[in-house]
Amino acid sequence: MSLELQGLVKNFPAQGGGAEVPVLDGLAATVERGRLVSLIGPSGCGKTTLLRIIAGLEQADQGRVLLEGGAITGPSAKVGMVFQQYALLPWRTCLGNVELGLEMAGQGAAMRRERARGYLDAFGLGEFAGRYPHQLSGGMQQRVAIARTLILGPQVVLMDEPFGSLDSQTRNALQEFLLQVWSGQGDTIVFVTHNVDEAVFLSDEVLVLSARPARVLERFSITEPRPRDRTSEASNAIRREILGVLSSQREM
Amino acid sequence: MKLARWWLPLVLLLLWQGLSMAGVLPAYKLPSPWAVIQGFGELAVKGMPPGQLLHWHLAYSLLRVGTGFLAAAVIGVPLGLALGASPRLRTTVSPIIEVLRPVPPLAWIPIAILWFGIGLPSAGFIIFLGAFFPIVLNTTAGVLEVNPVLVEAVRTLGAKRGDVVKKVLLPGALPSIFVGLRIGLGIGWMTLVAAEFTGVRSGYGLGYMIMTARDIQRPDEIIAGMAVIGLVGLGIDILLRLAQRRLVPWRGEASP
Repeated sequence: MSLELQGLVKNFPAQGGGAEVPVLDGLAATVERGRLVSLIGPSGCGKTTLLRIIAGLEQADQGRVLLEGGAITGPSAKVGMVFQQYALLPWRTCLGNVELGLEMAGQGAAMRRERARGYLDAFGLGEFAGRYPHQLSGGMQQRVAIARTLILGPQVVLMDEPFGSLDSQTRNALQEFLLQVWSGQGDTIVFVTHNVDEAVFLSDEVLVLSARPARVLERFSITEPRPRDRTSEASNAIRREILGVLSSQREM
Repeated sequence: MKLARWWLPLVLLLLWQGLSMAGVLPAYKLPSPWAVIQGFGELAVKGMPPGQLLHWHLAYSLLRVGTGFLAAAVIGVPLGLALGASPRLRTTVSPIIEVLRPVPPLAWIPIAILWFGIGLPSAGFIIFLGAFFPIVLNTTAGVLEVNPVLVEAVRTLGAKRGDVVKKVLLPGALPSIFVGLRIGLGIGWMTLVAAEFTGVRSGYGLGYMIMTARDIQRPDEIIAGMAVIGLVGLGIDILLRLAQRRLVPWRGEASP
């Protein structure tokens, strides 16, 4: 037991005199330690809000998030987050971005630089250490962003459609890359996506969320060993089931 | 230097010189470019008033601008950062700034003289007022333009409030801060010369030099003095742009 979401309620303030918009309505789920769990659901269903609450960037109106039994009250390096827009600091080189968290944790310059270099090398980015983000492709920027988060050894990594703005080739490559760097780290990943193929390829578990306000509609365990074949019989079967649940949520 | 940038000014200067030599332009109102160059030489060698040389006038003017501008930057940048970072502070402080900002710096001269007397402190104060508001406003605008996702990203990397300001808001606002510094310095420089028209105690300053030349009917030296003001202003701006290019390397070029 690693991450527990208990009765999360979140309403967005009313706009123009209307009623409050309920985004989460008593959402509950448990994510076991060391698993990769995808959240999938109709767009605008509150996936991102849920992730931001887990990250501590937003507060739930009711309910709580427990990490190893302790409540999350604000952002910290224990819960890392990878954003769709990479969110690298444009004025820092790749190396500077990767060492940022260590720097804020007060680690000495020589040591953190060495560690950051080690990460960049392991991530196949060694030769780009001195480049600025705008000099890199989207896929490389996102790999830098993942390195920047993983170097801090977070207990949970939240990923908000991290490959959503990449072309499908790069997207596939980064999915494989993610599995590669994640295996053996032992930390939990909560991965938001609207791409069923991606969820099925990556996850130990897929939680299908309802339209707003978000509840967990169904929970799929995927036991097929990795590396997975994207077109295998088992993958297709589970994709079909997930798509079936999702289509029931489509607004007509 | 590209020819495209220089041919029109050159043609205009030649035209001006030609019209002066043909007697179309009266020398007592608009002396020829050549006469202005000679006037410049006289300012540099003989001085205006005689004995008070150009480079000392320039040095005094730069000292006044430097003092006021530095004070404006040292107070304005941190205040602008704080205003950008805190909506509450913005609501409280912005009305004061909005009321004071439209008052031209020169309109402060009487009260500045009353408070500080005539001298460096009052001149510095006037320059300060001219430079302060563009610096504050541009710094604040720069902070507000920083992508909020960057702030959230560093918070999930363990940033405390001070880290957010130091590592995200300040560098993120830097391009805009430079715009503010350049505008502020430009306004400070313009304000200074006008302020020196109204009198200086030391007997030095470019504005004072020009007014003295006017008193004794030397339009060549007036225009030479104006040219010095323009060129020095340009030089200062170029220096700031070079500094910007060094300090903001992640933007390919300096903003206009």
